[in-house]
Amino acid sequence: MTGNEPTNEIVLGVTAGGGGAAGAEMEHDNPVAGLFDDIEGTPGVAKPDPILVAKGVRRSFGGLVAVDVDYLEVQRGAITALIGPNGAGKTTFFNLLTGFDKADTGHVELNGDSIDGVASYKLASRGMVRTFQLTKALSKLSVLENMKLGAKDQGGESMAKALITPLWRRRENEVEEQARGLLDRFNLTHMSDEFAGTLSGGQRKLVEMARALMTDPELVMLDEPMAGVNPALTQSLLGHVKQLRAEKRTVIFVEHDMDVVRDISDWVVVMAEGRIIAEGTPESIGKNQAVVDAYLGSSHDSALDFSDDDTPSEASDA
Amino acid sequence: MDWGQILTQIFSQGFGTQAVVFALAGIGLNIHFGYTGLLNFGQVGFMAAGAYGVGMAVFWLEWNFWFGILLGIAYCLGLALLLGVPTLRLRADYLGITTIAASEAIRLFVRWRGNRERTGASEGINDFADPFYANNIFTRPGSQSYKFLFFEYRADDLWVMLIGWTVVALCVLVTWQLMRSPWGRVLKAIREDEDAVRALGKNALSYKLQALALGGVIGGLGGMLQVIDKQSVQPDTFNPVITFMIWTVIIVGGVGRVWSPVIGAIIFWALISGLEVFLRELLQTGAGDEFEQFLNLNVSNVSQVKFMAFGLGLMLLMRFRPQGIFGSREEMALDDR
Repeated sequence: MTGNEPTNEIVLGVTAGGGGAAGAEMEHDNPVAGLFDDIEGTPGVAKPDPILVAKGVRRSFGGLVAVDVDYLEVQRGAITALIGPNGAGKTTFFNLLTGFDKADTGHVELNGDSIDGVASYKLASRGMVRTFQLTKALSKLSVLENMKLGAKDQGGESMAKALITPLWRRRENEVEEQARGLLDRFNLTHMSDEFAGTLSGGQRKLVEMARALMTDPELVMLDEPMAGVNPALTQSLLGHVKQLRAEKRTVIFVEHDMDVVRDISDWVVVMAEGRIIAEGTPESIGKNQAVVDAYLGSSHDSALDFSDDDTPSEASDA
Repeated sequence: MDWGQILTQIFSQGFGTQAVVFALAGIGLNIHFGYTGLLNFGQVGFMAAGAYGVGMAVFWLEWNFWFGILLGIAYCLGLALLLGVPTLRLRADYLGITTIAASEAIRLFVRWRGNRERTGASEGINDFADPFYANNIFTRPGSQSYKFLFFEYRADDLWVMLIGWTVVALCVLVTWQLMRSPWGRVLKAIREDEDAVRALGKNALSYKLQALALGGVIGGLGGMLQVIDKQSVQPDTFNPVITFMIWTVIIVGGVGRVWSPVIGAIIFWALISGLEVFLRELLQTGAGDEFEQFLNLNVSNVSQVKFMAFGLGLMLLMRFRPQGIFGSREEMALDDR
């Protein structure tokens, strides 16, 4: 994977330019615009309509407490960014929310129902789907097969029914149609029959996101969707994430790039050392002293660079 | 040098019962490793489970032979659960370690003296398959054998081969159909990345268990056919070397291809038995004295030398065609990324 640093500046240029055919194409409605204006940015603050609620979620590895989240609500239909310095516990928290890891204590509710101890594979049918920090394209399956795998309610996925083609052919055709539609939307149609292993890193990110959409999720959890992706493709990915919101889906994503966070997120949750240290709108979060301290006080993570003129902050003055 | 004799051996062994047995065990292992990515180093354990299912049903339980086949299948399913439930949640290596140990444990358990009344211990179980041969359509009064060109087959062998290759054909058909279905797509996806499959809402553990059971049962059918052919179940025929010969078979054919275990098994037995006759002929005619001296070849080590030669061939295959006969190099190259 390539480093992010040179990428950031170019992205910044593109964003600042604000024009271009690509930029215009990427305009999407924001159904939750203005929703967060009156919400106070304190950790654990209540949201008007939370889709996901985490209470007292704690996970330790030996003596190290990786995640210790007191309370978090995630607003339905919004794009929520989860940021924090390296080692803050973002991915571990993601794994806990998606059933890929088990919390020592705590409760997670999805749409008001508890999902504590629910196996990860059962969450897709409840409307939650995730992607991974290290992209998981299924190399020796074609891009189209990758997509078809994501679809729900496939009778042909039972061994007995699989033996008799007429029992699954019709559903398979529907699935293929759905898959081709999504591939078209993600500009991957020309790659349909290629092995996913032959795609570039950025294309794999696209396939993974498109494949996740095959499950028709309510809640999409993206773990570093822009990592190692070139600037042009980053713009395209951002557009696709905004498109998810326009379709009334909820998005939670982990990201290091503050330009990306500011560009697309409605709400930002900041983690450090396993805890949620701040919440707020992207505009307010850069001014938050706790956030600045967490980033610059401990690890000097270069990803949170507030030198951009749009959002002056203590960090740039310091 | 009697080339006729060598060719006869190549053809009769290449399509003989051993090739059928290895083809079946290979089809099973190919489902495990080739499609699902399960490292099963104990396929011979499933063969033993199938074989002892039939044998024990007749010998110990005094059941009808045909019900014995069902018992064999049940044993294989039981073994798959026993191996799979504790290990399939863990990393792939754990299944590998467990299966190789389990296959040896099975062999030692059935040959244990305390099991004499159930498994026949080290004497095994003999002459249990008469009902199988009672239905032989090739049996005819007078002559007991058939001649085709310069091949001669006993009527009983022909019957085993007919049933055997029919079962192979059915298993190939089932594998082909399953692997083009959405079920097979999930298996292949698990081979590539299990977490991605779970994130998309598939119960990866259940699919891996199903694959282990299916491949195990097909391997068990191979074991049954082997003991039916010999009319004898012997514990020591199920030693770990067999597992690695079956791995050879699917590697020669190319993993993850429907036909590869069948063609691999034919080539394996054709070459192994052809080599043996060739080396014996060499000794008899003295045509290659220098070669004999170089290898220190003599009557007592011919069967070792043939495996050495086969091993050399396998190394050359790995060097020049690592994807096997049916594999695709393009696909194999994706592993390196």
